[in-house]
Amino acid sequence: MKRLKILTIFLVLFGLGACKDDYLQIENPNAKTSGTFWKNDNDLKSGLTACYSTLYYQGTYRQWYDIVYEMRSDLGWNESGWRDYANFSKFKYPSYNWETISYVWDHHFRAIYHVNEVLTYGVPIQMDEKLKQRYFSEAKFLRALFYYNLILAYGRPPIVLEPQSGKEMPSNKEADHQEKVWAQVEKDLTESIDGLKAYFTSMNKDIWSVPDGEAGRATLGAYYALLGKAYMQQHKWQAATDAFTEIIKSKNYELTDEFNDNFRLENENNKESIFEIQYNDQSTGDWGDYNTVKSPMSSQRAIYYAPRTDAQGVSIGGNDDIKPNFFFWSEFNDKTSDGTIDPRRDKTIMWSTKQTLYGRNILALGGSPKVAKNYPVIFMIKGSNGYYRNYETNYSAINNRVIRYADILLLNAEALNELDRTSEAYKFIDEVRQRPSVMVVKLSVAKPNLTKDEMSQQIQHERIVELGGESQRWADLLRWGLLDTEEGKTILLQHDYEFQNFRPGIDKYLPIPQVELDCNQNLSQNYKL
Amino acid sequence: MYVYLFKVNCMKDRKHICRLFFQIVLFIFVYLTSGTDAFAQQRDITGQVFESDDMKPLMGAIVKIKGTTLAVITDNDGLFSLKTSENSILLISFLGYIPKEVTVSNSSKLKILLESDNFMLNEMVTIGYGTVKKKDITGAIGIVDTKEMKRTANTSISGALQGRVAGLSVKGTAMPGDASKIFIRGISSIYSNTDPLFVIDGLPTEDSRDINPQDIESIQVLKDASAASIYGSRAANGVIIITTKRGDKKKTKFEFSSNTGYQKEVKRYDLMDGKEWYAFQKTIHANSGATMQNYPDSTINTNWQDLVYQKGLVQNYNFSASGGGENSNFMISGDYFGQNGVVIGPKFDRYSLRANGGLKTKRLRIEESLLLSHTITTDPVTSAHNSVVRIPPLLPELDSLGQPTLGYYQGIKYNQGENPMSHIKNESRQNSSFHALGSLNLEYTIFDFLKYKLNLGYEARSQEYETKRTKEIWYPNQDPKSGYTNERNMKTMSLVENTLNFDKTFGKHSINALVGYTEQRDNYSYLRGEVEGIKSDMSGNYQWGLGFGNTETLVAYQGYSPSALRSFLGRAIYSYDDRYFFTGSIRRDGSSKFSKNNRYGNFPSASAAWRISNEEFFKKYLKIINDMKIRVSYGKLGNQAIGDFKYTTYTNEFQPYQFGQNISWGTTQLDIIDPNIQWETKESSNIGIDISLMGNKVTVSAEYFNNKSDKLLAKVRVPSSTGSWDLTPWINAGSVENRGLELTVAYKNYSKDFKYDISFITTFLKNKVVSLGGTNQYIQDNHTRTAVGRSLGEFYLIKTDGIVTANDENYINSIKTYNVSPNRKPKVGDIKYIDINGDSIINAEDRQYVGNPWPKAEFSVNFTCSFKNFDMSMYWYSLLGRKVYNNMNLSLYTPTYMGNMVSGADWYSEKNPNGKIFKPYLDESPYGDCDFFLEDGSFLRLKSLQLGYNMPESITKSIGIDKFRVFIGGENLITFSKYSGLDPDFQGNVPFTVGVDNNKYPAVRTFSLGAQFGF
Repeated sequence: MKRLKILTIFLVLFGLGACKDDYLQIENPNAKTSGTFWKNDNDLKSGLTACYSTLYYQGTYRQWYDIVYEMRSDLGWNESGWRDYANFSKFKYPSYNWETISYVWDHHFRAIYHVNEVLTYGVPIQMDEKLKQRYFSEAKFLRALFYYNLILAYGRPPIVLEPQSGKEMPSNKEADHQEKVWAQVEKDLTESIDGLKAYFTSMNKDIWSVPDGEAGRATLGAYYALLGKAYMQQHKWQAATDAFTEIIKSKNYELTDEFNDNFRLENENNKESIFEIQYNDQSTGDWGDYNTVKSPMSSQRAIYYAPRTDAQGVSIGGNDDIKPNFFFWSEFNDKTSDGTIDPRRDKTIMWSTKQTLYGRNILALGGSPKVAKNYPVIFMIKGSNGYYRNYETNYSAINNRVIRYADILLLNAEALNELDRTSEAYKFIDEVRQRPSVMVVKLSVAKPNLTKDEMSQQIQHERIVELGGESQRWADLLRWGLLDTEEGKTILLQHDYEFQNFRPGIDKYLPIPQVELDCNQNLSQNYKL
Repeated sequence: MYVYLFKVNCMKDRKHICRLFFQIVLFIFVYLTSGTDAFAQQRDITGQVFESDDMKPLMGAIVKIKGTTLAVITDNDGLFSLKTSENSILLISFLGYIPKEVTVSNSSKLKILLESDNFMLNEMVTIGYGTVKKKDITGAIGIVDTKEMKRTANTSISGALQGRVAGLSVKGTAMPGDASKIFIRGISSIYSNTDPLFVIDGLPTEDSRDINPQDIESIQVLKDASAASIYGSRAANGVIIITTKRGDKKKTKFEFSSNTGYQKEVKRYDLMDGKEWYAFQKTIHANSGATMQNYPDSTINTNWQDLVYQKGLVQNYNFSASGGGENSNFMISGDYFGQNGVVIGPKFDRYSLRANGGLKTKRLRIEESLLLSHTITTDPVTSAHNSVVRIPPLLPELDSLGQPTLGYYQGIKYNQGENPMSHIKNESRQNSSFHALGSLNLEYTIFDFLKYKLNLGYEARSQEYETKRTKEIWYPNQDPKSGYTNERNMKTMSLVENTLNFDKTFGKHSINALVGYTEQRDNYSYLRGEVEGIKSDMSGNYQWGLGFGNTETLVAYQGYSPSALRSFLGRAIYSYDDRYFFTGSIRRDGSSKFSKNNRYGNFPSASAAWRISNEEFFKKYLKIINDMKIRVSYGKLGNQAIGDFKYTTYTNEFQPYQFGQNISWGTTQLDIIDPNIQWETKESSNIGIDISLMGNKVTVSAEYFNNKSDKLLAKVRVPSSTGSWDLTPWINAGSVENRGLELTVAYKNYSKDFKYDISFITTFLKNKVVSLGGTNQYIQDNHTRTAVGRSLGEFYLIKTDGIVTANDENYINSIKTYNVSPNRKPKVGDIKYIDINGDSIINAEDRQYVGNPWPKAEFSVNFTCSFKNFDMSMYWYSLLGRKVYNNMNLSLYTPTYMGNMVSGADWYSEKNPNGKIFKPYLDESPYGDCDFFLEDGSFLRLKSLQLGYNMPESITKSIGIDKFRVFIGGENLITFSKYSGLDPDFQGNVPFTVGVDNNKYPAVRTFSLGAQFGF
């Protein structure tokens, strides 16, 4: 018996005593479960902030936006030492899974996922209904923006409007798929407009004001602007000008006096800005730091354009990947009333040894500017940090004015011209040409009585000199049909030797990443329809 | 008519079938062994049986007159006497010794020496939660011959296991501190852990790197379900049970051994020098019609390989003391192992101390084992041996200021190239780890047949990772920035195991039963601090932590990961008359890693064995077949090796946005998850046969197994359109089957001065994907596709057929476009991609299965011999029939990477129209997705060779020591292979890139010298 007693003592001490029911129920001490989140208006607001945060992704605006929507175009050239990357802008892809192709795709869909979370999990939350609709408005605007980008880049992105489980296999195979995506963009924006109007009306506030007074939030102006831009891409000219007219007649926006105010740290969120991504260089987090306390909040745009070294070979820190080309430079041919060349040229392109950037002389060849036709060694000034510091980094704080008023004015002119109201277009073009710091001769004076076709050509020119380097070019080329035909290719090839390999109608869109096709059999490759 | 009757009989009486079968078997044996019995005059014979090693008399040996049933057993002094006729033959046998035949001669007093048998049947083998006699084993258990292991200078357990157990393969590199991977019977899991469970002195642990192999007494490898299922949810990849040495009550022993080895890389790349590289750049510019701009002075010629390689040094010192008395024992050992690798940078040091002890009273036995180890692993963040490929010879090592050049020089952009010397000089990463592993065992004998055992275990591992970067490595002001990171983490495991063990023999029935209850709790916590962008010069002894005002950022992170496992276990082993054996076991595991509904899993198994050689009818054939046993088993195992908390989604609070001047932190869910995630299960069946022949000189063991893993914990790619950050969330999907045959044949001859043994181990293994869950038909990886009905990670690439020659007009005309270069038609000198779908476009749709990365067979041969005082051992290893992708060659033949290239390659050109390598262009790379760089990866390698000399006893005795041995050894001395890469014996990451060679670390050749002595 004694032995049994000893055994019992052992069992009680070391065995069964530890046998508690909750032994295996361990809560994660590090994070909240999704089930305990999405409970109140703060949670929804926080979820919405997460949607904005996606604007900092590498594949949305931090890194690849400028590359995909500008660099591929006929305004720049790329002889990056990273050859795959240089080849990318020559429409040669090392693989359909190549970094840019998959990052832009993946990150836009991540962004859409976060929007979909807000729009799905927000529904049951008990809170002020008008405020909720306002939050939803902002979220829907962002979703529309991401789909707008996806259509421009890939043509036929699948439509995903709810959080996924991984088993859904959305399709893009229908012949009218792109129209369906556009319809979804329009629907989101129209609902945004209604939601925001209702909210401000209920608050007795100006419907054009910035929600919460926090710069960077999407406003009614942004909703109309993006809606108009979406119509423009579909050649729905009347609807486009209607949307732009809402913005113009609101008198809420005007051009800044100083052209540079749109590309510098000073005067961010100014009166010309319609939608602007807010960067800072407080966080030096990089691509590996997302979802941590170091999550990136800066842009890499500047470093892609910046030179590696100055004329003396001293490092500047740029990547020297993308440069403006001769065509771009030569478009600045308008004159001011006193006969000098368009002042925007020297604010856009570093081409002369008389200019300095990063506090120094950049161009190696003292004396004559090297503007060789195919390989001009000239640099982009727009968006550079070189006006106030002497080196470039991965962390640029200069906000990206994604949509600005000048763009809207020129688009409106274009829509009117397309509607055979060519004469009405002058007013808006002249407003841009007559910005106080620009003051090139009014178009109505320089080239009165243009025909519709001539005006169309003129607008193409105006957009280059005003918006070149701001990642609007690819959308323009798509809209003007230059990417669809051999004739278009011939024109582009005159602008940019990199179009040699371009296949009209096929390379206007990036290929859908091969891995995506490999795991979703309902998708078809872009060029296959 | 006869056949018909036979059938009826069979159906009536199953026993009859068995009898019939064995009548046939018996007949064969009778035929083979029949002889004549001589009847002659009877006389008295006496004799004495001794153990040959130390001449101790053997009690209980059976002495039998051959051809009769007459037998006697030796007494306490090994003595026996019997009556027999002259010239008759005595058969003397004892379990664990080689049976011997002696012809009765004139001498009436016989002295018989029995040699101990390596195939020690009476040996107790440690299995989970108990021991079993080796002869009673019913499952597939690989017993490692530690005798041989102790003689060779192994510095790690995985090294010691290589080639010793059928079905176990070890894959690792010579990188200092690299923990080799061990695979038992193939890859049963696609994404989850494939490491076996290590149980060291009763304590489950993940890592064996910190264990000193000299401390090991025995290693058992539990390969099938019946053996391993007592470890339930963690046993799917097999279990390796390690028992460390304990003191011997006989005498106090001191042992010292040392071993020093020099290492050299087996092979280097044959790379271009500066001149050749410059000329090559000229060629590719010319081929592409481009002009060369800004290329630096072609007189620069840096041989990066010379800078990066050095002579490696391995050192190992080991000291141990052991002893004990009637009721206690102890063993302490200390060990130092240090390795400075062949590539400048990586180093590894291990210091370990073991203290094992035990006490016993009449009913209570207490045993303790404790390991303390300290390891320091040093390596730069980037591997220098790979940088040599990516950096051109025209880049100087140092700039004009004497600093390592960064990624570019004089305007030329070497984007792919990082100067390895910049890493070496400016960057260091060190991992310092303290590991304590201790267990305390109390065994209380309640009745002679019933024992209670309490096993308490505790493991703590604290690690410090320190990364210092004194300046930017690549570009000024860019990542990776100068900075300092220090992470400290602590991993603890506590274990309480209660078991009751019943062990009794009733006549011919013997029963061993076990019930148990265990609880295990793991915890992992870490704290990490980072400072970045240090603005002043950080070389020297700097107070990094005080870097505040001097740095751009200072960040700290913290996290925890607790988990728990609760288990109930039971096992019964029944044997009848040493002929029939049955084992049944079950473990019920509950894990905190899964949601409430899926928390518990049951893992049962059953097995049986039949020792035919103990059957009465077999007795007369024991001369030829000394032992024969057949085993069958079936059971279920589990795998729970995924991270904690994977069954529920979490929100992430680090989603910032700056509105105006204020930064707001948003929260959202990042990943999609499957809340029903649960155990991965594995059904395993095994049939085995063990035979020993010719006086136990030959042993043959064959096993056939079929393992089917189900509900695989898989990370199956979901579409990016889900928006999940983790595009491969954990789900239970699919099933993989591994079938194989293991064959071990060993022969030994110890009868003369020249003793030798040789063993052949062969494993044939085939894996097949049965399903991938749901509608998924395949998982695509970069080069490979894993599809239902095929092996894991088969190469799925565009097939090529050499290069396009002038005779390929049809081909040139038929292909409209190379998809990568859309407006490009094939030209002479291009790679000839096969347009499998005939659409005239070469693109991803032309991929096809082009090879299997898994070897058809794995062989190893161990040969050891000794002649008088000399001994030798040799180990050959071979993999046959596998394809490998030489990813390094892709770099070395791709001009667009701007790295270095293979020297004197057979490039096609107009002047060299028979060139085997495509014509290079400035801005075109070969398709990475083609099989141009796919090669045959078969090889045969002499992995190790050792020669030893034992000082004769006469001399050692005179200088007062027991034993003195010196040895020289070599590793990787000879390799036969057609593979063009540095090392054919590599394994990529399982399972998808298992055959993709990224040159993780070069193979090294080691020459070593060592000494062992004991006193």
